[in-house]
Amino acid sequence: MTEIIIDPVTRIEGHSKITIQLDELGQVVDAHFHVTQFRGFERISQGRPFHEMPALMARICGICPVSHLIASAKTCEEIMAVSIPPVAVNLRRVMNLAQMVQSHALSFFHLSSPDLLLGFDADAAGRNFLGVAAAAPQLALDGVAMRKFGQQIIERLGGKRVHPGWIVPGGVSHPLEPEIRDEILAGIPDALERIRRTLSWYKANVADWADEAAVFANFPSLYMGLVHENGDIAFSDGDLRVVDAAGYLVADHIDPRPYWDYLGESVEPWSFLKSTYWKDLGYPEGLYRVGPLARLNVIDQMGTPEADEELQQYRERLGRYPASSFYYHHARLIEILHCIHAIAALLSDPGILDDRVRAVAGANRSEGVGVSEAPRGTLLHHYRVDENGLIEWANLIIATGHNNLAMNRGVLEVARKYVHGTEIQESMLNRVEAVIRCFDPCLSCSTHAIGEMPLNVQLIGPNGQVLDELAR
Amino acid sequence: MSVAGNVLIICYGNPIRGDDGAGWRAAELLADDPRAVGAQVLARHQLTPELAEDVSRASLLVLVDASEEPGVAGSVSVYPVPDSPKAGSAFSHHVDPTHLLQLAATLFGQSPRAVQVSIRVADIDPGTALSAPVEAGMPMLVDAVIDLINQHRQRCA
Repeated sequence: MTEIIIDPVTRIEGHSKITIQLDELGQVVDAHFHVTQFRGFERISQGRPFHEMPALMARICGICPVSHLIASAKTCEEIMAVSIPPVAVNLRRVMNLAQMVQSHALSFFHLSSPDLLLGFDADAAGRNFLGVAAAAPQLALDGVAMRKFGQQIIERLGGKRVHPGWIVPGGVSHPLEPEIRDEILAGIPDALERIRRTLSWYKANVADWADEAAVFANFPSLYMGLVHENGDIAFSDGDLRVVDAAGYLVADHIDPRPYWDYLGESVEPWSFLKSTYWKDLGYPEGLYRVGPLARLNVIDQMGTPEADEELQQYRERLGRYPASSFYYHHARLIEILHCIHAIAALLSDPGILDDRVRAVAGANRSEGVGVSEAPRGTLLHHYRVDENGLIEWANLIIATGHNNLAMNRGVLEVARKYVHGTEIQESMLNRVEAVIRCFDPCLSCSTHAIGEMPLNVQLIGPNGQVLDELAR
Repeated sequence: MSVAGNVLIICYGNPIRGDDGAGWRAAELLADDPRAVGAQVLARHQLTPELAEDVSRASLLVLVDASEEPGVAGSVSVYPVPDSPKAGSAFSHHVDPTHLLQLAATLFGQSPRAVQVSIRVADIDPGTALSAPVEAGMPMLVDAVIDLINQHRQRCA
């Protein structure tokens, strides 16, 4: 048995490695995506007052803190047993939509566009965002501008672009000022122009990636995401819906509170990331996907006209329930378009300036569950508190955990297609990494890194000897 | 278009990792320092591609960061940003100083002279306070940045 190790996986959020096992004939027999970092927030939070949880949980991630803020605040509001003011619901939506834009822009432009524009076989030394900037400056400019657009909205609403403290148990800490609303609205036309240009570029070039689309985690599965009552896509509220590969409605408008009745959590010894599965199908057959591809599969429509036109084209080309995870990229772009329109619509309602933005209460229940959509998929928080409102126990199910089984199967599928023999080629390993990038996993990257992130790949023989090695 | 005398100071690090938050502390001090009036001061967790446009508009870029390089904790180093990135440096959602300058030049047509000012750390365990030696070194760090600003302004005068 021979093993190939990709450590760390590059251009993703966090630290991980991939191992690929080959048999004596050089054929791939197994592969795993290992998450090698440990955070321990479920343990850290024990003993903290519940109202501190949103601020604490936001520290889980520097890319998607807003989703954690929302899921955590909703969990706290279950414990408080309150309904928050309607304007607070809408203000949170604006911030979460902005986070979708900036995070999706990061995923598409900064992390994945080097493969798409320059080619999966391009020289690794130049296959990065700087290479994109040199080869297609407008594409890079659009990426920089769209991420900035989302970040600036978060910063203007929350005071900080990373870990804003504005979303609190009961609502938001202060109302929206008219000048901030106007400033955000002024940026809408430019953002729309940029995402339209990017969608056109993607659709004009998608045929070039047909080989990758055919094998990048392309298998039937369940899909889960939040939807509004009318079937519109939902990010901050709404209810869970689950469909299968043929579109059969497995579950609809289900309460997240007894998620333990339908979602199982499994732990493997080779990763710190839990694998979540649909209990009725068992482990690991209960594999399901969340995130942009899954959201577009579970919803009836986006809910904004231009994004609905794009969704219709997407479905006409790929079918009603696309199965290849390569199409996370396309789904991400459609979601950006929708989010920009949705931000404009929410901010154009005069009621958005209402100053009743927070409900106040102590702990009136001993347990709460909150759910939101993070850019990468559904996010569940679950807390139990004692009689003083101190956290006794917490459980978090993050998007990347929902997708863990699918990512592992995707790695195996791509390795079987592209990895052969005993000599490693960088381009085939890049495809194994690229299937992971489709899911845009977030392994938490809020810590400022000092140092380097080299990629070392070793081909290890049956007796442990290093047969081949690559580094970048 | 960069304007002579335009100084951009980007202070970066993680403010909840002890001395790695020295950049944020420096940003506070520089924002309140009358000698730095006219310079734009930003505090960031990391250097990201989104800063490229701001960088392109500056005529001097000062990057303030904490350093794990060997040396006396709280000591300050001033050195030009190298033309070549560190070997093995990866390109993801954050960039190293050299890549940031290259992005500014590639996307926005120009990049400024850039200087890194670093303070050596003693403790980067989780926490919001700086260690005693790094706190003691902050005035020297601020003075080093002010010296760079003054030299640049004299050059542009």
